[in-house]
Amino acid sequence: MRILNQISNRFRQWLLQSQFKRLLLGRGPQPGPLRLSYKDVYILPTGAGLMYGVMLFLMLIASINYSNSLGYLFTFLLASVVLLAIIHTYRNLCQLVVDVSSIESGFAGGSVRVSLLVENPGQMKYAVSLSNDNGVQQRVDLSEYAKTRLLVEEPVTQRGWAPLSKLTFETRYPLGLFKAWAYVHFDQRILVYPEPLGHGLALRREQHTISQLGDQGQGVDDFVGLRLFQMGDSYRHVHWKACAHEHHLLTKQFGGNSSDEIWLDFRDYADLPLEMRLSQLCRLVLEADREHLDYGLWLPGTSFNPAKGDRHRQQCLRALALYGVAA
Amino acid sequence: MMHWIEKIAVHRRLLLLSVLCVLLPHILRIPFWLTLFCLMLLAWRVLFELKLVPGFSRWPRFIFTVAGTLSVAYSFHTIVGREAGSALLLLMLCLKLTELRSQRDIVQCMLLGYFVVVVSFLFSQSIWMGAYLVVVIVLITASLNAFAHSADSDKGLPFTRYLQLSGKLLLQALPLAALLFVLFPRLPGPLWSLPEDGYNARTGLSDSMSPGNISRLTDSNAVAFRAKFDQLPERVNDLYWRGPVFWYYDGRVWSNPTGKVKKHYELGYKAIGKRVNYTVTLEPHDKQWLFAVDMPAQIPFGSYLTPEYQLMSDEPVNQLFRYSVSSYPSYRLEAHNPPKARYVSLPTRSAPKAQLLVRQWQQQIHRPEKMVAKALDFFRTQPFYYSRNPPLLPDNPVDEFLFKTRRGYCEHFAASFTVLMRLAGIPARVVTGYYGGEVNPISDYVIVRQSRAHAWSEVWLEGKGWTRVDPTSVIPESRVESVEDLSRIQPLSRRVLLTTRLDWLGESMQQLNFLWDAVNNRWNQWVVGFNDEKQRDIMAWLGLEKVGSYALVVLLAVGSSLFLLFASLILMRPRQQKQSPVQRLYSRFCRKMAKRGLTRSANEGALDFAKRVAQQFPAIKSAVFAIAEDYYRVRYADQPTAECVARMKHNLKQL
Repeated sequence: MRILNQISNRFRQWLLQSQFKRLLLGRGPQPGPLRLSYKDVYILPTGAGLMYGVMLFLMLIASINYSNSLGYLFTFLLASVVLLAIIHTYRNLCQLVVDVSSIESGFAGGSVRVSLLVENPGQMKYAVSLSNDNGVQQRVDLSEYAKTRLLVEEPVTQRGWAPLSKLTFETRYPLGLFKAWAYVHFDQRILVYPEPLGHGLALRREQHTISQLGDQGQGVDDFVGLRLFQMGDSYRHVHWKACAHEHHLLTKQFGGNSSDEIWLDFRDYADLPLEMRLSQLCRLVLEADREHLDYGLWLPGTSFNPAKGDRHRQQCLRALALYGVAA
Repeated sequence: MMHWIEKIAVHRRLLLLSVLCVLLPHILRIPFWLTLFCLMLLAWRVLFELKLVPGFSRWPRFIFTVAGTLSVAYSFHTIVGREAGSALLLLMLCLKLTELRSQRDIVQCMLLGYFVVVVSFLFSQSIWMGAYLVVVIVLITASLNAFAHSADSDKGLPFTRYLQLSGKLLLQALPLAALLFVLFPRLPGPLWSLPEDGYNARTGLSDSMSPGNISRLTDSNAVAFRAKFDQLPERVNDLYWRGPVFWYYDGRVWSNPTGKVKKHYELGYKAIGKRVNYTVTLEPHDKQWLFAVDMPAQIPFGSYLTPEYQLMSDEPVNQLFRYSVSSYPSYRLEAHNPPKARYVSLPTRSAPKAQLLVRQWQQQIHRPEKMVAKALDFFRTQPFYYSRNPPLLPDNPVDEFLFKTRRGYCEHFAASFTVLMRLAGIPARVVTGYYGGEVNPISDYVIVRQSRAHAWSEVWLEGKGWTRVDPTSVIPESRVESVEDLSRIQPLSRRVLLTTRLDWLGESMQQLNFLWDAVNNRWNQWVVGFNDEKQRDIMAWLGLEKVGSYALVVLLAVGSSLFLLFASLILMRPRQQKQSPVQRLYSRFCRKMAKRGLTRSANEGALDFAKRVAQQFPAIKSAVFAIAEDYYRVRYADQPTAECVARMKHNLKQL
């Protein structure tokens, strides 16, 4: 019994490690660019191809029955055509080089656009279709010796890192009798932000208690006071005169309207489950960003001081997306 | 005006065109209603594609199918077999046009088209048919291609591109097809027994002979058969090819009413002189007759001899049939067996005047040979005319011909001579067949056309047996009405053959004719008549004599795999990107400069290089800069290519 086990284990090991692995499981996720070589392209007859086979058989029978020479000749001609079509169909897919050009980040529950760059280093390839788990995305002709940009929609469900689904390139050109396909599996990941849920900023403003620290003086209007220079402060706001006295840099602070800045705090939503919390915070971040407010984000382990702008938003969203997720 | 065609998707356009082309060769053959029906369905489909008429729902389609099938069954009295089967297939093909909804339907329609193409060969295997149907195959393949490319979307290439690819694919497939054709073992057909596959009225001899039967063939240039002799006989025009033999005379028509014929394989005659070997390629005529020179010595497998020594095939000849025979032109047949009484019998009062004439002769002549000579003399001396359009002889044809009209064709002479012999008590019979032939100077074989159909007589003489007597041969030259018939008569009367001098056009036309017939013959021999015998010949020629069909299949498999391997290596090799004209010109410029010692480095821009060159060779500065500028214009500024290319060429030449 043990010997049998040993043998079967050895066999399985060998299978997985040998060339068969590629055949059985396909290539695992790999970094691009990926070239579709002859090992990666599979080919099989389509339904139409099988019908064609039946037709050839019937033609042959008829030719044999009537001993009709030209019947034989044309049956063989059509048989040769389909055999050559196999080569043509194969060639219509081989040697393509695919790479991921850019991946959008998106929100859970939506979809994300992945941009692929397909290079065709050979002759023109026709009617190549690209599909993923979501169905057929595109069907294009790829120009010879040129690169084509293709877009793929990937639905994303969970926040965090989502793997790119396996893409399938398929073609039935030139005669639709054979189908050649190849899988392309990239190892890049999609950053999925939590789905923005929950109430909006307006509601939150009502509930918000005025910041305990009062007017922090982060606005840009009236001069309120001085504070120590922080990295990132604009040099225009440095109070040079005061520096001469103090021997270290001081920044002028200007007061804006009261509370035009908000802190989005993880601890505020302790009654919600984790995902809802993150989703709520996400929504608030988006709204704050839309309304050009200064917003800060506090998460256990990370915090972002109130600021605004694209980069700040992306940082916050990324933090929300990756909270608790292994990098 | 042709914009309406653009509204139909490319693959449908090609499909409809191919269905029309598939239908065309059959139009003359299928019943008129079927042609009309198919054309109407085609027209309907075109209008439907243009959204001018509504579609067919399920019930009307079903009714049409059933009605069509019943009509075919009614017209052909069956639905199996060659004629009915092909008509049914055409019907199905056109009915399929009413249902092209799903992808599968469209592909099925195209595949049906292919099938009907192959079935068309059951009716004709001529070179023209082959060439035409190759074009049709290209059309159908192009429609498959267009469908695989753009299915139902409107975007697509112009249909010429699909035709191009389809043609290329077929050309690439030809070698493999030829290999398969030569090596695939020919299984003996038929695989199933069918009711006699229809009798198409073809030109040729008939089952009976009456006045006018043979003269109607004089204009027919259609080839009856071709013969290749091992050694071409000197007097090809002396060859008599035996066809149906008639011994029963009812007063008007000569026929051969024997029911079950006793088949002979042994030849009961004495051969005199040399034997002639030859191979006949017989055009299909749906009868069992095989033609051989009198008297056949060795008959081919699958044939037999009737009691009248006519060579017959076991199966009707409805395809081109090639067989080898040898004959003894000089012979003595049944010299000492008195023949049956039927060869002397005549209906009572069939030719009273002739009877009187014969009685008159019998008073002076007592020996049969002398009687024969006397009758021939009668034809020679009396004003008998050999005419292609003799007057009709409604009643009493023999008497009318012998005494009144005296104008007739070979069948008149043969028939009346035979009657005269029978009246004299000499056994005689009428033999029809072909006479002579023309030699094709290009390939040295003999062509026998339908126009050479002939009738002659055979009389039985004690000690000599059945002897051929051709009454038309004694007609003097002056009494032959048309020039072409002269050559048929003169050799036996030992006159010099008059060759009509043809003018230059006539000569070249005749040469062309011969050339075409030679090509046609090659086609017949090597393609249409390709059978296992020819396969064995090829194997022997390759040095593989002892090859059974098993080995053939192995050879076939090996050959095909090798071919496919070779093809895939060729097709899949990476292609060099073709340079655009501008790039080619620029490369030429760089090469020229390299010859003068200035090589452009890989990362050197065109303008920088031009500057360098201008430094070295200030004389050509302007031309060099112009070239570099044009190069930039085309490659990066997207300017019109043609003029820049022209300018570049001009500047290059100056260097």
